[in-house]
Amino acid sequence: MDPKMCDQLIEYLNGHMNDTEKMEFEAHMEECPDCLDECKEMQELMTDLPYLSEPAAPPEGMKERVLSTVFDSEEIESSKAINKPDTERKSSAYRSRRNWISGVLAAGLVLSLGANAYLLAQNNEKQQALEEKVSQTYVSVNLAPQDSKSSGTASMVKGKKGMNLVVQTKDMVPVKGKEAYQVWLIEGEKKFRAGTFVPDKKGNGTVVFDVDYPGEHNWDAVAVSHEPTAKSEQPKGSIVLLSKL
Amino acid sequence: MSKLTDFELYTKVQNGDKSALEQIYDRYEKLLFSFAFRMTQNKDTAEDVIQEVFIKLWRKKGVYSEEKGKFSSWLLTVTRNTCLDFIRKAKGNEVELEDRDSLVKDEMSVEDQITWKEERQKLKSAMHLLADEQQKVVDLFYFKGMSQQKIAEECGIPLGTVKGRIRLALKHLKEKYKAAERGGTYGPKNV
Repeated sequence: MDPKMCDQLIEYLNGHMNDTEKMEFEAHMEECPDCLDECKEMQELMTDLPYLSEPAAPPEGMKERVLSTVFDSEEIESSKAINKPDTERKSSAYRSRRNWISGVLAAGLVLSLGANAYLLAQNNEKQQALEEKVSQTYVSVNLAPQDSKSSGTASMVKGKKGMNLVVQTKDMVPVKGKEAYQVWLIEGEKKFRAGTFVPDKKGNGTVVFDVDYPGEHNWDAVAVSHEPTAKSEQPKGSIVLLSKL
Repeated sequence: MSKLTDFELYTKVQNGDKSALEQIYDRYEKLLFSFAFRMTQNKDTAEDVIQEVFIKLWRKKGVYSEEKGKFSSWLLTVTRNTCLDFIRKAKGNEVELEDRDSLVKDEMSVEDQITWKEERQKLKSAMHLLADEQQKVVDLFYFKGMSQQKIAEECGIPLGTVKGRIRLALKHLKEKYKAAERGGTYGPKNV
């Protein structure tokens, strides 16, 4: 047996391994009964430890936020299979909750090409300059309000250093205390933070965000949510604007 | 109507029953949140953890079978692993975690605490019977999820002894806990 491998149990139990290391260690345990026994023993010894936790009160509204996000994660997945808007989908008990994707389907989806072509026709003098800018715009959509009177646009713009997401909003409800608006890029059921903003007194807010998440992404939608703080790693508040990309 | 077991609810969840998931949520919300808060020491992060755990449960990414032991133990293990992911990410992004002491500890009524109060009392008593170093090693390993190297540094002990010390501390804790469950004496403090 590789003695170095036998010393890796703690790293395995605490997740300090990448996928390859984890697979190697699991393969090692199949051949090393001592490590396997030790692992089982440790897992058994750890079983009761969570009960040492002091009771802590869950934040107000956590249940609704968590369950709506959980159930919405399914709708995002299923909406991938839908090619065109279908506003007559069967309603469910949770349909009335904030909904990441279905609102998009009802919203008017304005793609950049049409909108930009219109702009070009409006201003012949600056046509050359605009064409240059237009050629850099990957996609632009109107953000559809979700139980709100807000509106806005989101554009993916190819800049020198990569892709930028530009979100402009208006008629946003003012924030209180630590609250903020958070922009999210959605891919399947995953939501990626894409900028935070606090609107001005007139309710206008803008975000320019460098989209530099590692790896290839096929973004499905962009959303703006009203968050309790600017630190939410995952959406917790209600969605106010949303559109499919 | 008799109350469904965890496994019965889990099976319903596998078949897409939202109300079953909600029942599991109601059953475990306080315990999972308290545990996630104990590990991450941040209420926002703890909520993110709970959300992730239930997404795993709902999206069938976490698969439970009765061979894996009690459902509650499995769910707590999934919660711990999710906490460890968040702790690592938070460190990678250098997100500042709130100081635990600066938070309002809890606003729960005594009644709310009762579900695992007895177990907690016994475990706490058992934990206090361990030597201080053993208590520390349990905390660094289990709740803080540190690597062996980090634990060795924090405790000032050789790297090669970390695993053995953790194992010994957990074994002692289990023995003391079992003794407490039997209602027997705890025995002398380990030094």
